[in-house]
Amino acid sequence: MSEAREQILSRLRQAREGLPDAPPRPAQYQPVMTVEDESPQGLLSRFRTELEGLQGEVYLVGDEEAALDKTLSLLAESGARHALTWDWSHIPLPGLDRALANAGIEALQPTPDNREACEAAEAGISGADAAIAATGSLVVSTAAGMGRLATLLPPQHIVLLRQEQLLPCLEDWVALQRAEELTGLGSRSNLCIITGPSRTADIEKNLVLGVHGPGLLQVVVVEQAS
Amino acid sequence: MELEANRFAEAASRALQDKQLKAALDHNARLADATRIKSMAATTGAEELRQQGRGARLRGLAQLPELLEQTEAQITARGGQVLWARDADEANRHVLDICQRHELRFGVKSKSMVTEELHLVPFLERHGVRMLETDLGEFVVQVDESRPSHIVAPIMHMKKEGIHDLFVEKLGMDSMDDDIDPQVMTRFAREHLRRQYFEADFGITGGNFIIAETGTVAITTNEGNARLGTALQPVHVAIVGIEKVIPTWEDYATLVQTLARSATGQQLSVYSTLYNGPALAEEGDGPQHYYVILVDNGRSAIYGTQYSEALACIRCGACLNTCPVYQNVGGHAYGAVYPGPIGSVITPLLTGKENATPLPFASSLCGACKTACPVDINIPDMLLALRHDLQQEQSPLWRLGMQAWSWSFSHPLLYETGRKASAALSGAFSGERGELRKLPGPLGAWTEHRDFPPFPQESFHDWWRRERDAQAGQDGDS
Ligand code: SF4
Repeated sequence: MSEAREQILSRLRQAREGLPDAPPRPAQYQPVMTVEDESPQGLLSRFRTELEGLQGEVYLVGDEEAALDKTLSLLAESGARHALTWDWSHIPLPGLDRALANAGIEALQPTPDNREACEAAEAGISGADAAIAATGSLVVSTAAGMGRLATLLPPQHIVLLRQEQLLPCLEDWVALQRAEELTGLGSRSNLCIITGPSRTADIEKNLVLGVHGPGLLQVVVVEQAS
Repeated sequence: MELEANRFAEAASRALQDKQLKAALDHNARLADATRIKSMAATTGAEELRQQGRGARLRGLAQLPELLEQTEAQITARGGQVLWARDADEANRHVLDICQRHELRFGVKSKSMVTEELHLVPFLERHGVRMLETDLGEFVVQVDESRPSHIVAPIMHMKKEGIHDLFVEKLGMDSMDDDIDPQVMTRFAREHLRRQYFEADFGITGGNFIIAETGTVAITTNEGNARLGTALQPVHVAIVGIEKVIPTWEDYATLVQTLARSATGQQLSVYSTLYNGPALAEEGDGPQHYYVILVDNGRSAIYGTQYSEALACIRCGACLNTCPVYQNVGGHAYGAVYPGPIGSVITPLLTGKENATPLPFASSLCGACKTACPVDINIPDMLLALRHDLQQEQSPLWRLGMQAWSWSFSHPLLYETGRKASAALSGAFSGERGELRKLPGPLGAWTEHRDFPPFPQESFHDWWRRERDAQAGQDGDS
């Protein structure tokens, strides 16, 4: 073990007498933001309000057929010809590969060897681990076939979500991870809680979208069967 | 630009004359302050959440050595490597070693205050490694060859005209004449930077928190630059202060939200990115090599002292935005990497009190900083304690003066004589309302920018004596 490590740790151990008392860990954490109506409709309407407030877009569709149509029309609107995608098994929309091919849109799954092609893609298509209604957020994580680039590199990001994936608040998502002893969380090399399109307000607090990440964030939600 | 905290008075005077700066601060700092207040008020309870966040940070500090060991074990188990650095030089050398081991020549960097503190970029560039700042504000600062003036909004001191001229002059952007559009400038910067992400062979980030139970380094950005700067490049180096550790994910859930609200008024920053380790073998992107450098650089010397609480800071910038001193002089006047109220506490502690003697005095102790702080750090008390420390260490003459004053104060006759002399003498220096335009000797510093109120003709002692006698007279009548 390094000398620096030993020295830092031993200095801290010696000095800690003088620390202020820390309050005990709360038995119950207070969530920062809650949702009043936790019904599926309530969650969806809150998610929509929050994300649209950030200039993201939310589209509710009745079934998978309609989700395919919506995805294709969003791509047609932006004129995208190349899409970076997650592996089909991780996007909750069977038939998407064929639909894209029929529409003449080239789908590409990023690897370390096709970076040049990735750079030219105009759209990214992914799923999400979960969505948070109170903050209008999407949780994405990485694994084989679930890369960072599809959610990040192109100017347009389309997310396919099932309504059941909506949770009230961030604390609920953490509680779910805790319930499985953080194993899901721990097996990922990277996670990201995405809250709206990429933005900056660095220049005189003027809001500008799409700085390095996508400026267009579109979530297609497949309605929960009742 | 040189960092000189001891020149605060001079730099602040200069800043106060700067009309552009005044306009920028009036707009930016005040707007940020108002946005924070509104955003915290919209939560389930601002005060409870402040205390919940504070608890998380204080528990992190209380178990710091154990949590750091836990962090290291977790990161190592996932194939990452943890390096420890006692000081700036050791941290910088770690990065250089990594560059040499993997033959790295060009890195993209996202915003990180600790790397500013280490002066990492100039160090790497001296050793032939090119670095590019990717946060828009930091990029502007880099092109401008200046320094950030705020820990969250690096170019809070600039107006769009200045940025426009800089881009035109240094980067060849087409001039927009009178119609300067931040949108167009941002787009220009995106294009300029995009290609370089692909050319870079490593990414450097800081870390807002380390969640010890999984060893997760948490970073927040709005632009997506940290995430993109660690998705395309084969090596990721995260450089984090040892104090950033929090115990659990529940603690993270609280803090990541109060941080965003306090910093920019958002519910969450756009990208709250969480790093566990290098990309797994089958992943199509992400770094193959992942290093976390844990930096002490003076923190362990603060740990356990009366200033320990300063280590709980989550660098949201709220205390800067709300501070009447910062609002008027801006960040550069402090001559330090960390400006504003919290900077006035940690700069003397990290760089040596003698190198930042004016900073603890650059405050009216109004308490706005403590009220704004999402983890309720008692900045005013620490500023007072620093003043006290400095006084102890300061010139014996000053101490003698203070002793003489307190002695005279406890001896009414002496005090009276002194006061009468001042009142009489003051006539020589006073203006038409009796205000003092210029105090003599070293006291002149006070009157350089403001008047000293006139000495009253009647002292409290005299008034008291007169009133007492009058009262006694009245009592006698009844
Ligand atoms: S001291 Fe508090 S208010 Fe100031 S930057 Fe740190 S956390 Fe924010």
